[in-house]
Amino acid sequence: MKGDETMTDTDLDHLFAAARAHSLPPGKDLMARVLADALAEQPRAAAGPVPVPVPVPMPMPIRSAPRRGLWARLAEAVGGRGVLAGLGGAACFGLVIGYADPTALGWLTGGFVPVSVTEVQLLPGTDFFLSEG
Amino acid sequence: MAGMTMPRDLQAETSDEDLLALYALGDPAAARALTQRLVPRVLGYAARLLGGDRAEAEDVAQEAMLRLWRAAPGWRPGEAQVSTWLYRVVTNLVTDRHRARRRRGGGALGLDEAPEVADAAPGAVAQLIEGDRLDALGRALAALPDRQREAVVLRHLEGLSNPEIAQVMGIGVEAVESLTARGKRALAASLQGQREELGYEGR
Repeated sequence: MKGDETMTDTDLDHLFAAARAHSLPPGKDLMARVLADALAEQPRAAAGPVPVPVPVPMPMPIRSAPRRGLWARLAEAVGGRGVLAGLGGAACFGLVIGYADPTALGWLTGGFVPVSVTEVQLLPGTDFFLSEG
Repeated sequence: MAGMTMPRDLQAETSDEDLLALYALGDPAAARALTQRLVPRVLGYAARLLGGDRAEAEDVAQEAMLRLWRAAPGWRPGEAQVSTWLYRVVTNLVTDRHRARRRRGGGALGLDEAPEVADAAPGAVAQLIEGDRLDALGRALAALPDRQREAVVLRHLEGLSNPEIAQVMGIGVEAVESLTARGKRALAASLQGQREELGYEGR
């Protein structure tokens, strides 16, 4: 016998290792009971037969995608950046026409409009507001 | 190969958490894979806490797995490890049983059913010594306070890390270290008297 009578850490570690090697294997009966519970508790698939399971990696906790800019969302809403550019161009052109004297655009409309346009009154009542007195 | 029994090798490729998600979607293969993977560990832990009482350990294992099945639909990915969660459930179930047993007045755990060693054939001596040592360890573990026993079993028999044990037991890592240290000291003291019969003499 060793002079040191105490149970050493090494002795304990040997015991733990031996105990780890002696696990209690589950019997078939227990496995069957647990599986029966599992199938009884299992939620049914939403519709039809269960789809073939695909062992895909679990998605990470869902985080909201980074917020996209206003223009990106607007472009998507109207059908793409090209459409958005076209819309912007049309808007600018409309603004130019609004400020410019329409009669000066005869060179543009002459080919299409047979009668020459001398005056376009978009708001017929504005004279009243513009006149003094 | 084990994987051939299933449509896909769910055992090897998929994490516990992924299998649980598949289970919640209604996949029976996931139920089988989880059962095969988790029940041995759950049963082993329960048996170690319960001093080797097989029938009671099986009851605890089945109950813990039942709770897992019921928790599956509401399982939130990344919140807890499935194995840690199960260890915690088993710990609580065993604690409940210990309390109930104490209330009924039955003190000791079922450790007296150690196998008889009297008529052993000489060839089996080494194995019997091993068996005796494990029985002695079981008795010493059973004599520990509940929390020390849980910490020592999780650390030294289940092989969990201290942070994992902290999660299972719902305490801090320092508290885990203190419990395992005290538990080991108490185990050593308890085993010291049995040192000779444990086969440590002359080594």
